[in-house]
Amino acid sequence: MKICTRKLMTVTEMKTKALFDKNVILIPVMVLGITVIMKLVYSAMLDGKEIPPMLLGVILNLGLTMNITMTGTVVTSTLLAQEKEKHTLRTLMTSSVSGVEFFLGSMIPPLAEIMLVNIILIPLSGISFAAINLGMYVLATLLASLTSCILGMLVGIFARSQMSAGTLTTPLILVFMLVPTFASIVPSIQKVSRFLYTGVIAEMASAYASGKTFHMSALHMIVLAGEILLAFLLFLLCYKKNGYEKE
Amino acid sequence: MSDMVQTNSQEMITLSHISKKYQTEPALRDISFRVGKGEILGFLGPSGAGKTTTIKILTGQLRQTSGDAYILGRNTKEIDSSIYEQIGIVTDNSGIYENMTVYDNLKYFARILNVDQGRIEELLKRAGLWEHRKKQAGKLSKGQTQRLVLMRSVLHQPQILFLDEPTSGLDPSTAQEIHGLLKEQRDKGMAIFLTTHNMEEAAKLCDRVALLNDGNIVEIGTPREICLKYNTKKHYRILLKNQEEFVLEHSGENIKKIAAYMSDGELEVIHSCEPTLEDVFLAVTGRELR
Repeated sequence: MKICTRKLMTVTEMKTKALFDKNVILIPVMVLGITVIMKLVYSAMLDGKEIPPMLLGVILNLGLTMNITMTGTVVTSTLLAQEKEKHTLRTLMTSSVSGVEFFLGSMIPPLAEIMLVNIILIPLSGISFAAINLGMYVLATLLASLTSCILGMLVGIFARSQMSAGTLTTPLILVFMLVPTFASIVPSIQKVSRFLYTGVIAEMASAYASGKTFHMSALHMIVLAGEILLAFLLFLLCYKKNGYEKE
Repeated sequence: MSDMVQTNSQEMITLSHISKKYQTEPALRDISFRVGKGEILGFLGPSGAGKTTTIKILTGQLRQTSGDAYILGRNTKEIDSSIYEQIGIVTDNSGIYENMTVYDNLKYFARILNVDQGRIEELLKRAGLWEHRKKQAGKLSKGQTQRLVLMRSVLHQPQILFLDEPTSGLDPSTAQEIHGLLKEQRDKGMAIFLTTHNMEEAAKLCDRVALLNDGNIVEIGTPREICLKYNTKKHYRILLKNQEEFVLEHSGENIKKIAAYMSDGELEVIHSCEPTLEDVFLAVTGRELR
């Protein structure tokens, strides 16, 4: 498997430009906007008093899971579907860009965008950087974001248009975003959430918000690494069968 | 290895007994032909005859059911993405990045294919798109878009160019312009494999044509050879100065008549009525080329 740096960099640059497409840029902007609104709503409900750590955890958790799940899956699948819709995917793939170069070039810009938003979400949700082990935070959110991006590419294989990409990512968003969001309220959901990569992120967000240290347990590591592997294997299986374009 | 599979340095494309089935439906049946350097081969057939399938097999996008295909001497079963550094592909739905400028559409592909950026200016000027270089590619007309797509496909000076219905839906002047560009590339040594259902285009542009029907090549040769081969009932269309118009069959008596019209100065126009490629296709297959 040879990767040509020149081709990879070019595809990455093309995909970075595509991130600013109006259908795509809206998602991280919406994530940031909803986080700000959530904080303002809680602040208003408490008559301007300091928001308790538990609620700050809820805000950060919502922002993170929304960003990781939505930006990860929707952006990557939409960009791939857009290439098919505009008939540029085949053009690119018949211009000597390999499948691996296209995969990496399509993953790097959304991943970088998600990570940037993940960092911005810390101060935006009202949590101090001092309360967070930034190395652990970056590592955990990077692994989780990577899983979402791979799932997005997987969905992209089956999406013929940008609209169908949106439809196909909806079940993923419902599971990976809503389960960790409601886990703190419904105990039975918490049992499921522990086994989701976004569930690990939710636990980390709550721990940091309440001033605790977050230790990555063996289960956390298995969930984060295992789900990346699982998503990648699924992607590989579908890619081998269909390429990027299921006919 | 059969004689058909032995390729030489001048042979750009070799197809040997290629068949392709989609589930149980045959798309190509035992197709064999070659395309040499500096040659335009037209693949002529109605929609669904197997033209696009042939291009996809040759460019490694589709695997044949049986037979061997070679491109630049390499078996298409063994090629990888690096082959695209030496070939160019244009289809009637080749996409462009609509949100990028005309210039950027070529710039990124020039980078991918390791082509000097100076060539972009040269090609845009050749295609009459230099003044539109800063325009969003999505705002180009259909003819301009097709010229941009064509320029992108020859950016890296490929040895073989595949064109799938390149002038489909274009106005005659743009189509003619594209023909000019293609002939120019052919004269530089590029092998061009062109599919079309436009027999006029094929007759004007192609050095050889292959008539494809239901996955079979029913005729292959130069357009003139093919037309003359089927010119069995020779006849002449005559227009006299008095506007009288009629058709005369080739016979000793009629030749004398024609000679008399000429010597008497009565003859205005005379046409030999050899069949067109479309007539040949109709004669061979019983169906039209549309």
